[in-house]
Amino acid sequence: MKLHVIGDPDAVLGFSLIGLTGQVALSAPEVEEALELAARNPEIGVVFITERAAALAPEALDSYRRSNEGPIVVEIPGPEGPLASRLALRDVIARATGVRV
Amino acid sequence: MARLKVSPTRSSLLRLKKDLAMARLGYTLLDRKREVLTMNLMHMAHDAEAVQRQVDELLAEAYAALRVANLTMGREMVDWASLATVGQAEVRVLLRSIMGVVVPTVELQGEPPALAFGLGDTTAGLDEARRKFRQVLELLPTLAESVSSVWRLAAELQRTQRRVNALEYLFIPQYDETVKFIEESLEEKDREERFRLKRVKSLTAEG
Repeated sequence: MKLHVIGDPDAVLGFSLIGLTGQVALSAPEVEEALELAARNPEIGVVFITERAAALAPEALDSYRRSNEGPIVVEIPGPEGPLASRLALRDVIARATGVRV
Repeated sequence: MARLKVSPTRSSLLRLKKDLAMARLGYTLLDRKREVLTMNLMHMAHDAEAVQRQVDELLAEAYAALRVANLTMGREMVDWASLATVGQAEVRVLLRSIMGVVVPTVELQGEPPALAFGLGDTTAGLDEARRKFRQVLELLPTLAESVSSVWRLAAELQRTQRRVNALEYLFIPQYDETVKFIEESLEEKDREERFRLKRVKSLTAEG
């Protein structure tokens, strides 16, 4: 299966140097469309989406992230580095359990 | 706690008791599921965060190297170079199940694609960018695997938690209360019946 990058042009370009496919997406509709296209492509196993792009379509992202089906969707930092708004994994767990780890 | 609207008869008492036993069993099972999920989550969270930090660092270096390449060669040439990359990075995704949650295992497959552009047109900066991005690529399967596992397990845990709570704080108390109510009213009817019989008996004895 293939790896796919969505979002920032630099991320898409950088990963394309080592053979990953990608789709530049800079607005909410673009991100949603790119995600949907990637999800419909059975060849794509994992989608990496840059954080700024992810923040544009939080609902779409969440539904892929929580679902047991479809491609794996994971956020990666863009060229600006990790955003402060990224939900730390321990917060994801804290929300689920009600307990801080 | 609100009582269910059922007629206080012996047959509905039997039915409710059966349902209640079922609910208690369900509760025990779900509670155990919650424990297992929590345990798995805690276990994975640590690794996931470690690999996330590593990717953050390496990726920052990769972006920096790419910026250098863009500056020295011009972005257009880097674009061209990326078009000349043959082959694709492939992964194998295996799925396994933890308590009904599908959790992936991701492995890189084969060699990453080789350099396919001439040395003449490209700079050392581009090679450095490629090298850095390839380092990131090696971590990506682990990142995908552990981060998505955490999200999926957390989502399932939340669902389980909701069900456990519904059983514990709503369903079971409601049924408990209704069962108690029916038992009491049945006893009350019994006492009335006894009293009526005694009364009839004493009346017939007098007459």
